[in-house]
Amino acid sequence: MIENGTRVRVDDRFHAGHHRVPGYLKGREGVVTDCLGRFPNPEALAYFRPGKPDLALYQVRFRQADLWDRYAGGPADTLDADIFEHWLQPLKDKP
Amino acid sequence: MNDTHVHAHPHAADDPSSGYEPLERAIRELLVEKGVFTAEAIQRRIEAMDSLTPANGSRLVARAWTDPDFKARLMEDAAGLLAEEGYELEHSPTVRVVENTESVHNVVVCTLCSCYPRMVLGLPPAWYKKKAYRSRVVREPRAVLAEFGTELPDDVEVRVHDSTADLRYIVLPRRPEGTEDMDEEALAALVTRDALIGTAPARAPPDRRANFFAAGFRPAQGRSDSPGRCSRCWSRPMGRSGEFRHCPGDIFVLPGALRAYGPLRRSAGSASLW
Repeated sequence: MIENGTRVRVDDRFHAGHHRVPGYLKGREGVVTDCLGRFPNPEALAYFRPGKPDLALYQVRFRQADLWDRYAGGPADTLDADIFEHWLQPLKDKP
Repeated sequence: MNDTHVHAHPHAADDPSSGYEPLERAIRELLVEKGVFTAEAIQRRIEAMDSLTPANGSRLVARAWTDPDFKARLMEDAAGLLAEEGYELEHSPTVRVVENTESVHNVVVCTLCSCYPRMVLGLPPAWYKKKAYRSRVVREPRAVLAEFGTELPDDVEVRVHDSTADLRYIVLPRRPEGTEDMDEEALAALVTRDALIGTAPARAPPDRRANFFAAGFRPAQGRSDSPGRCSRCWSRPMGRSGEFRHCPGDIFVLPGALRAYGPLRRSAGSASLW
């Protein structure tokens, strides 16, 4: 269980096959803003396997300025994505 | 970073040249022949999907604007509320509503495919599924919003929701000013599909739109009395038929349109409108 407000890094790893982590978020750091519940693992569901046990899904908020070089929008702009627990590494330092 | 992108669901299904159309037809006909389901069952499913429209979302938003208890419930447990309202959510991802405020503007995308709250709003618009929208709205959301006519001040946080997993997002837009006396039905008419996705705000109420020029706003000098322009929005006749492209209210929410008609000056006695 990752607490709300925890700083996390999205794993930057190769996964051969269906998964729900966009490439542009791999290796990026954000903050967990909500636990959205537990859901079957889509990486198994996509291949007709049950995807059990369910995995915790977290809403992670990223600062746009951290995601893109020369981001042209406002400094407060953010991006929320829903990432499963096995792709998230909690970081020690909190913001 | 798309080196892992090998999954097989048809991103290009609505492009007839992609080859997915004959594939879909072949599989469908085989399944019907084998008795897995009937052609009638497919037709009923298509009809059920077609019966869902953005008007469902508009009604939810209008009710949330007028009923604080309903809004609280919608924000906390949209999926539970929608199930009670009769939406079929059993085999669907869950639904969450995100609220636009003075300081935050939400916009929804699915960069990985085309996830959309179909179980409430029906099928997404074509642009929502295009790579241009999906790749650009995460990278330069303000530029994309501006192309939809939505320009936001720098101090408003633009929050992009990438629906990467099991949640589908609906935006609760801000209630426009000057709508205090309107009933739910009239309010719902202001909530467009784009407002529910977050690419546009809710429309301004009709009387405010009509009053825009009546209350003293005029295009810059030398324009207002040019012959051959619409007396209301000063647009030139457009198209083969020479019809006016009227300002169907969008003039309030489309800064691009204001630019096109030149700078506006405000005459005395109109301050109350703003």
